[in-house]
Amino acid sequence: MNIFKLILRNLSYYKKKNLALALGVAISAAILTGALIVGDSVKYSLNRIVAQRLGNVTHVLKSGDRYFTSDLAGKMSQNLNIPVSGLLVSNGSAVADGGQKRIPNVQILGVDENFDILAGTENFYEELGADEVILSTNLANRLGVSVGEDILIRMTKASLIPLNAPFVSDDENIVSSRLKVKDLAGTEQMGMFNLKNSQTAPFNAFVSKDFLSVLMEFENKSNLLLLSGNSNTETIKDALKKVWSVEDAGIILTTSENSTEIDAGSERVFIDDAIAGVLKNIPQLKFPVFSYFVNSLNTKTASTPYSFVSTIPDKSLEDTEVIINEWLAADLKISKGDTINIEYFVVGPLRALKEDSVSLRVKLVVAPEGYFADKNLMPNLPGLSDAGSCSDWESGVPIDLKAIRDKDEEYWNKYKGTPKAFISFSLATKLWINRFGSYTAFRYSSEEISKEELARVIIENLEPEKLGFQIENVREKGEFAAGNGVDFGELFGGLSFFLLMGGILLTVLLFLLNLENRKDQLQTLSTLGIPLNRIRKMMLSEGMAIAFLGSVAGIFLAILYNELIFSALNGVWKDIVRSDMMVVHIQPETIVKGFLLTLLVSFLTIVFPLNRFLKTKLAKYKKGKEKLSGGKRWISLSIASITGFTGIALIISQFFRNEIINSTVFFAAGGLLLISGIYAFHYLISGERNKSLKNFSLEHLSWNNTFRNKMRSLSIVLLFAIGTFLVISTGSNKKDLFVNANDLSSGTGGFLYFAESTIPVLHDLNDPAVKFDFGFENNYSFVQLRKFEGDDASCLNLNKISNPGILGVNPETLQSRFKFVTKTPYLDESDPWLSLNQDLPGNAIPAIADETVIKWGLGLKVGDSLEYLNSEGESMQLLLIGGLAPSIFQGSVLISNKYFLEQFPQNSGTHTFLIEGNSIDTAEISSEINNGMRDLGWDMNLSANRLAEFNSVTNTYLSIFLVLGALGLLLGTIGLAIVLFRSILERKQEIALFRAIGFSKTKIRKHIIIEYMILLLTGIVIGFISAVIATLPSILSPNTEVSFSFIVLLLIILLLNALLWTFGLATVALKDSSIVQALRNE
Amino acid sequence: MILNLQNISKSFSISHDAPARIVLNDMNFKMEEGDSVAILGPSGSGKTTMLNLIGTLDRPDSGKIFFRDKNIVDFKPRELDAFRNQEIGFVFQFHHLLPQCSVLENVLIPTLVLDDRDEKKQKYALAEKLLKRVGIWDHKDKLPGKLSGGECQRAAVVRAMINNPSILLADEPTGALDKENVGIIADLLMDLNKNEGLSLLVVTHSQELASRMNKTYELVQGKPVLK
Repeated sequence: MNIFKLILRNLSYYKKKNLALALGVAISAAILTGALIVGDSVKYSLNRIVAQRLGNVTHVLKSGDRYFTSDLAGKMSQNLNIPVSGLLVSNGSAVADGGQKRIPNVQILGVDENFDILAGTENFYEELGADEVILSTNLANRLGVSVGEDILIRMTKASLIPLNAPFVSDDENIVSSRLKVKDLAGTEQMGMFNLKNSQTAPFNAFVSKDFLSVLMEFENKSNLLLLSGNSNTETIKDALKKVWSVEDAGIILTTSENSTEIDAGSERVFIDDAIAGVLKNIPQLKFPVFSYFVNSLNTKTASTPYSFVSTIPDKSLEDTEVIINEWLAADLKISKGDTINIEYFVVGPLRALKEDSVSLRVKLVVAPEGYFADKNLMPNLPGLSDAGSCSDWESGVPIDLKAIRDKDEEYWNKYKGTPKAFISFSLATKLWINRFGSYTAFRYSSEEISKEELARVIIENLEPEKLGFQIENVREKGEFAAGNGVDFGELFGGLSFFLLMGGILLTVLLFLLNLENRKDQLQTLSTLGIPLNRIRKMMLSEGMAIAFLGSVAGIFLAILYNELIFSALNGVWKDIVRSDMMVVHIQPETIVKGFLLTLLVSFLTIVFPLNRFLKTKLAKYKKGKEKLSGGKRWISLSIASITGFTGIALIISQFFRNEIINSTVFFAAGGLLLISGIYAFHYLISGERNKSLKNFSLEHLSWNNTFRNKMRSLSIVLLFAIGTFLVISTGSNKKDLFVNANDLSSGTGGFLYFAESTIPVLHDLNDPAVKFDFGFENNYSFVQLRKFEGDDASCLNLNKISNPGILGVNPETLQSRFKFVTKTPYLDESDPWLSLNQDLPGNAIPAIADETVIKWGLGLKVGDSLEYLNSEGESMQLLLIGGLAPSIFQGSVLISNKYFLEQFPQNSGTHTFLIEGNSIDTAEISSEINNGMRDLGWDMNLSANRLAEFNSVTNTYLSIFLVLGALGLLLGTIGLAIVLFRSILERKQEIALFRAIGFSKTKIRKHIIIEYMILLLTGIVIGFISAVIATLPSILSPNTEVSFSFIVLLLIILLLNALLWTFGLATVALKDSSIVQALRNE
Repeated sequence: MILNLQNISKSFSISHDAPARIVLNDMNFKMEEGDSVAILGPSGSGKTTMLNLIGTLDRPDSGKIFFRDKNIVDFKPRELDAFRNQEIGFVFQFHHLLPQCSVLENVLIPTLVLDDRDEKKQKYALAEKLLKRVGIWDHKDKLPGKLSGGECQRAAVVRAMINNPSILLADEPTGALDKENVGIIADLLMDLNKNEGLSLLVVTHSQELASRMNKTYELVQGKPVLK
């Protein structure tokens, strides 16, 4: 005989009980390992999505709103010796079924044969012909089209010039084309190509780059480079610096007509400060040029319409003087010394035109010769410089064609846009400086420097980053974002907490039940001199052997549990993953981890009750007198008092403070009261039972029985108190998705609609003229927001986001709207939105975001900063000065337009819109706006719906918690059944005695049921009261809808369930044979 | 002298406010090597308490218990286990055999603490000898559930004897047996006392069993009185 043999005997003899215990362990193993597998699977799925959306791409070169030459791809490839593909990318919408199906936010990707290498395909994209398109499968599905069918693609027309730059025509900034679907690109063909860190598949339409260039009316241009290789970002930067050219920077070098000067201009008309900074410092510089298109040059009696005015090369003019050519002098009939008035437009944000004028004294009248006859002084303005006649002019400013006379046409035919007037450079800068630049050209002496040498010097001194060229290791970033995103392992670990507790409790109770059954045996072993340690080891080994089997079984259960969770995540719980591409991924190390973790949990679950059992039941050989269990009563009273008073004090403090109700404080108070209630109950039952015989009855006996086995009574109360607390607090936090959506302080800000356009809106939509153009007749208004693209940091994105999109807003338009829940001293409480305009120390930019985005999406808190690169490649810090209650802005960070345009001066137009209108007219408003904006890739939703979509994520999490919590509670009730079974087993003799002395079965059953109902109701009442207090802010909040009926139903089910167990077990215990056996034992 | 109990007191608390109930009160008791002693007394007189104190299953409130000159009250837990395992054999009213183990395995349970293989072999031989002696060797592979009450109690006595204890403490060893089995167990115990020199301390209500011991004491107000 040896211990091992004895353990085997025990395992085999008590197999049924051991199997039950193994099942308890298996449940815990399934929950623990299941949570780990969920975590791994989501992480794996996100990483798989990174691989699917990037194919072989490792790095990208983005150029902001600039276009570089397509040759750059080849040069980069040659220099780095890696595959590089240049893309021409635009955004647009896809239309099918005669306009019935319209999908906005489609990436239009102009690709060439090199794209195949990056996508890992062979001749898939290479053979794309004109008028052909390859659609991503999800887009084809949404459009309901298949190969061979036609669709219409409508997209932003690429423009080399920023769309909101002065004098740029916006008449044709949309192009459309009917295309035949050549093929469908699935994940194998990189159909999900996306540079954003998101698990949601984008809509992609792949077309031939050459064909797209034709549509955009330019040649040999790209705006995105995809690279594939192990090179680091710095190496790629170095390569770019080596191989890029002035053409890539958008600089045009031309030799003047007289060949004495080289003109350095920009294809963007106005020369950016970064380029200007280099150009003006080249020693061979002769002079800068600033030319501007003016509305008229006039005197009191005559007027010459629409002319160019330029600057003179030297400083011979005062800011009050002007030189005019002879043609103008003749036209206006003026001469030296006369005064001339120049009227011109200044273009503000959203193309708001302001006419201004200046009066100058004519210093000189010159012949149209030499510099004064230089047609190249007119910048290259599409719509103007390429027009055959004045009547063909298309510019971004209104032109009154009737004002154009024949002589103006003649001038145009003879001199094109040769300036008619010349002012000093300093005056031109004062009058016409704008965010796009303050120069239109620089002139160099061709005798001192050749064009090639000038190009070399420019490139040598110009940093690509300064122009917004950014190289990103998208693969690394994507993998980081996927690897550090929402940890579903932890999340499901947390969500399954109560289920795990249920499993552990079940294991503990089953183990204790086993120990209880074998108490006599263990006492015998102790009496026979088997040391307590050896008994402990034996029982522990036995327990761990069972735990081992349970853990193995639990792994299979975990896989099953995971399959269920994933079918829910890809189905009913899709709201939290926003993708149907989640797959179960089982890693051997996770299984081992889960297995070992379960063994550890089992060990802890077994070792503590075992020690306690051996200590209390076997190790009686104590020094001195036995202590009674009530000795620690005062500890319970102290804990109950401290937690109770602290909880109440917290609640009172909240009512006396006039600030925002802090839900965390209430939850803490509720939690403290729960602890207080449980300890108060422990204090109560640790005291003396009622010995009064005045009202001696069965009920009296039932009440006294709760005092008899304190641990049993406490476990039942504890179980039901925590269960009730969790169920009610979870249920109370569910958000009503549409309550009070019209309130200004709600998450919609009182706006009726939230809209986004794929193609930017360049005009002020509140301008009556613009409204008229779009056909808006109803009474509604727009708040337009600028957008800097970033990743979506809302709860819809599972990836770790560090640079969410930035929205630029005029803070005044949001005054008194939305609700702030966290603030810093920089947030003015009376006018929080206006705080966005303030100047902060260290040039930080004030920013506001949803508190949930700050906390969960970014892992930050108010007062922290976000770092971005602005359009000049310089670092900018956004200081989060306040956090909003959940709002329609979730996913983005808001800054003032003042700072937005400072940092992204060339950003054109608005992409995000808030629409305020009467909620009664939603159908009419929707139809009108959708009609007017449909060509812009318009995507408009009721603000309440958008908010509901975000809230649905929270609600889904709560639902999962509720479902898993309810499962846990169910397990808990099985535990309760075990507790009941154990106590009824202990009391068989007592029941037998009742029967023997003539009590009816009904009466005894009633006695047992009353006894346990006292405990159940005590638990439920403690849990209910503390949960109501914990969730008081939610219950009182107008934005939550507490489903009391659901909660009551759940509690009734729990009570009935417990009642059923009590009834059933009492009935079993009252069976005659069982009673006879008990009596015989007595 | 194998046992010498000096000024032993033991009381039990029932509740916080009730006074402790004194079971043994400044009791003295001696027992010689190889003696056989019966302790009589009504229920609640402290017989089992006295046996538990000697068997180190419980601890006195005050006083000393000398086992061959060693005060076992001062023993540390490890010494107590060894003491119970090597020096004392226990027999209870109920046999307390492990239902999952065969008769032979049950008898060998106290040898679980032994590490020496040879010693274990010797114990096996002893078990065989003792089981044959009590007439249940043929049942050695049966589970206790298959044996009669008397047979189980005989197996329990063998289990108590397996480590050659110096003293056998028996608490109502025949309390759950019929008359025939009472005789068998009584014969067995007296045989062990006379032929093996085993000291025997029996707590019993049975006058028949008590009459076969050398000495009989009655516990009166917590003190043994020789009859």
